[in-house]
Amino acid sequence: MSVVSPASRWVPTVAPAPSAPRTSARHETKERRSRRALAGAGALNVAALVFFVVTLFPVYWMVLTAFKPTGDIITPTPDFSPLHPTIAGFVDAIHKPFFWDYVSNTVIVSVATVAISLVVGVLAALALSRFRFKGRKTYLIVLLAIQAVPQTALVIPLFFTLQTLHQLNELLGLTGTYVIFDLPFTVWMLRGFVQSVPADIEDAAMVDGCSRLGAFRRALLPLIAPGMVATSIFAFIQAWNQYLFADVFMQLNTRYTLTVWLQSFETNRGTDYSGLMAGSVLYTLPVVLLFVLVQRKVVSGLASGAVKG
Amino acid sequence: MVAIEPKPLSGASVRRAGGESGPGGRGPVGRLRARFDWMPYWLLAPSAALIVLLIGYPIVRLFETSFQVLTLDQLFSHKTIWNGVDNYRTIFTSTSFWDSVLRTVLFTGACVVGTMVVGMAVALALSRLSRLVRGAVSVAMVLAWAMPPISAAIVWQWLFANQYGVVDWVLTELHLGTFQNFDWTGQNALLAFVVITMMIVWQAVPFVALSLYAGITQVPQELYEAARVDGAGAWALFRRVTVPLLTPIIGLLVILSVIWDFNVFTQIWVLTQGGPNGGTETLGVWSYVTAFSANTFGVGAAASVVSMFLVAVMSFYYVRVLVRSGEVR
Amino acid sequence: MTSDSLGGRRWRKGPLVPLCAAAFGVAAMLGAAVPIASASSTTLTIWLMTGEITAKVYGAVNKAFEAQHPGVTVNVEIQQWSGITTKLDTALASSSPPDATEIGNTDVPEYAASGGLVNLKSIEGKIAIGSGKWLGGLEQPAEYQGGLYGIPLLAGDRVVLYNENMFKAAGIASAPTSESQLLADGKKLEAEFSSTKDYSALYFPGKYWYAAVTMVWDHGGSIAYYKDGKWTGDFASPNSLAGLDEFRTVQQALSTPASRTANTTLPTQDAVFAKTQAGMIVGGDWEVAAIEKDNPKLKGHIGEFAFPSYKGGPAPVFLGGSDIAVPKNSPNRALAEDWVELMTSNKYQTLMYQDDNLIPNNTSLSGIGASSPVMKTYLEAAANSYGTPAAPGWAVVTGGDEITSFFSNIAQASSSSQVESIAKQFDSYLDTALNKP
Repeated sequence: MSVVSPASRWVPTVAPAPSAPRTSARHETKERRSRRALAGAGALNVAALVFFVVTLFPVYWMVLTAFKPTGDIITPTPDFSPLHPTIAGFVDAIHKPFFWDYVSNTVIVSVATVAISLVVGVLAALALSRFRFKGRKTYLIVLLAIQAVPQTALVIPLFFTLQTLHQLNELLGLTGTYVIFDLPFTVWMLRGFVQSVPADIEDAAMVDGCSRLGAFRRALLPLIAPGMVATSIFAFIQAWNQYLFADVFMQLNTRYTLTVWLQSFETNRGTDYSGLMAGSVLYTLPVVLLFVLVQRKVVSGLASGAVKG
Repeated sequence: MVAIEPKPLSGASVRRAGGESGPGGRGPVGRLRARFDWMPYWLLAPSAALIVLLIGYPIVRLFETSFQVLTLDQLFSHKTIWNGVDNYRTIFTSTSFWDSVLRTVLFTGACVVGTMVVGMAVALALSRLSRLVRGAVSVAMVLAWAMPPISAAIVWQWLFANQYGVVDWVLTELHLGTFQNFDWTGQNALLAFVVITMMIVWQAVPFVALSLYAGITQVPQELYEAARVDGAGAWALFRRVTVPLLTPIIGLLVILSVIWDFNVFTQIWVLTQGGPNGGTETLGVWSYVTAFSANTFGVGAAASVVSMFLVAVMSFYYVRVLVRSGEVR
Repeated sequence: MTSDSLGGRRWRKGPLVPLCAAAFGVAAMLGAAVPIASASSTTLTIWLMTGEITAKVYGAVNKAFEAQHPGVTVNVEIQQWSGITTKLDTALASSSPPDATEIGNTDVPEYAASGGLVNLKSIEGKIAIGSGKWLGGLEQPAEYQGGLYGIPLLAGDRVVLYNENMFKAAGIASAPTSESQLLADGKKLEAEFSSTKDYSALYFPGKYWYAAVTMVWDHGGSIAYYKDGKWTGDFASPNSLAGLDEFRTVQQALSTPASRTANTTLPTQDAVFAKTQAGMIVGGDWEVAAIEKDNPKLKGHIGEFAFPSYKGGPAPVFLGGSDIAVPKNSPNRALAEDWVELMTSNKYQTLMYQDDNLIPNNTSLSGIGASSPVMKTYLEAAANSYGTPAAPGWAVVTGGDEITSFFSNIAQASSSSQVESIAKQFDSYLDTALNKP
């Protein structure tokens, strides 16, 4: 699985190693080039392996712990292999009260948040990158300012706003809150991706008879699709991981989200590491699933469009 | 690694193809804007409506609160007591506040630089790796990224624990020195910061790397071809093609990283709670303890305003570059 | 480039359309969500904290309550500890707070002093606890200017757990009953298990101030005192210093050097004990179960005794626990007070003890653990408990790393004079932190 595989089409067949200084590419012999490319590729793969291990290890530790019987979890010498795997932690975790309510609440809120942020965000990004108008700069800065306010400081005033709107304990209110904190990021990200696409591409589409919005949709959107994937996954993870708002704005047990469930493994009587890690594994799965799903879509979307203008 | 350039690349062609020219008055898109154009306002309407409806009041309220006495007493009785700039005076005369500001600025800088450098390196490497390796690395990154921050922080605490810790054990087994019961987070604040920074970078890199990689795949390949024909080396290609084209994304990632790293809380809280002896107390931790544990919300609001200001200062350069990047030249 | 080559046909199936549909579909679903409360009867909402009173126990209380109050339904909502103060702040300030809520005993002072809660002094006398007295560690924080803003609900305390096999191996016949005996027995264990790597006779994390503060109180010291309208740090007083020095001695003599900077979360003391790397720990009753789960071989071989005083006999303990309070804006205040009366009465406190192993709120029940040797020790120890300072600024002291770092520094100190200078420094911090700005 790759992030965006059609890109490989564009990557030169002989990959220039970043570390190989080249005085003049034209004067190098073919052999020398390929030998160096090979050595470079070797070094690159070793570096990739190290990065892979370091990146994955904490995740591995989480998964490993999730499958360990409680007595094997905290040991004087680390135990890297699950000798007696058990799913007891998982069973405990999903048998917590209201688990399935949490699942559906979290899925609804997160998906809705991403969908709304993305739609609203793309529109705003178009305005902010393809037009020059009064208030453009102000709007961009307001968005950043929203992102820069420490969220803990906004919990109390937001609570009263939602109370006024009769949206406490309502998934809609929570979704709205999440969108607010996803939106600035989404708009700015998408604007960045739109800007890196030459405007000529839409111009050409319009010459071909598309309307302005039609040109955006047909010419631009396929090109920013990889960026939309990165953005949407991030927006999803943000919403998926929100705790404080979900905890404070939802006062009924049936309206909690999964982060609240994750917190329930920590009580005044200590932390249930088995349950917490099993819960974390379950909690991580949908994000990975989404990634796989979304990135496939993009691959096919990209492959369908002839990008070269 | 500096390449000798026989011929500098044509800056104009890069800029044009890179779309930095933006909405300028050229091409059909531009020409349509002869009369007053309502289109951008329509496009902005949905997001603006949401923002005004939901966050307008809270943000105004936050500024108001920073000039008020607001503790639980006032919160429960709904009384408003203005106290001028007293909250700001409280903050600015607190030595622990300034210590935490300094720490936060340095910590944020370290995290942002670390994240961007590693992220860019990974993004560049991704485009050169074989499909299989790239897939493996991407999956590892998504997994790390998707791990709930609270669980991630607990695992890192575990890895770097001085008793029953994994890192100490591994380093000792590899005969890299005497790391038995080596205390990473409990005695030396700098060392504790190193561990926290590594944790932040670890979880921030996936997003940055994948975003940059997404950007790199959008760079029209002929620009590289052209540059290569001009004799540009790998470094020159990077400096003169990749970076200029990715400026909007790079700048944005820097700004977002500054904002996020400045407000990091959970990870520090789980790992050190601001210790040893307040040595890792960043502004986020300081505000949480001083303003929100103590329920002196007025002081907390003032601290938030100050921290927004600091974020603005730290990201000023990039914000300016970025905001202007959509303008006609 | 032509528009065909842009894949316009496919684009219609691209992300925007389904996304729009999804967004509006979800919004519609949300809009259609039906509110749950029915209007015909009164609903009493009670907030309880996670991991404590179980559904069986509060279910019994609710059943009795609903029988007494026809037409009233009781709804218990379980809350998480993380972020609870923010949640309480907003809920208490709103027009629709819970009718009664559990509040951790260290959080109670700020709410008691801020006018968000009802003074329950008037119902205190009506609660059926016989001739019992409230546990001090629960009652003191709820007192404010002669009022009582929370009724003690439940407690948890810590005693010494020991590995009976190890005691036997080291030739220790009976549990120590004084601090000097504890040290002597500990040294026997250290000698017996000197070949065990990283062995602690009494594993005592340096940041474990819940357990360490016991020694300060035992020597007649205190954390801080209130005089002339002002809180003053008291760790550098001679009595407190004696206690701190005792903590340093015990910690350094009986626990590993690595534990001096450790907290109780990783590794957990249960794990250290279960892995037989410690002869003793200071732990709660729930930890006995955790250890037995981790290492079933220890089942039936875990003994417990109250942390011994330097004078002999048990030392005073730190009490964790909660009070239950009625918010001023509660729409059903009288009903809420009735529910609190029922829940805190001996009948349901006994049930809570039996079912959930939680320490009941008053001294008249100290004897109910007679049948369980484990709980007997805990119940008796809890009768002699101290509260932390009922200062509004106390939450700041425990909020960050200040108090844990302080005790950790004491554990790392090399001399009594160093203990004194650390204590003096901390007192001056307390002087500013405890008093409201």
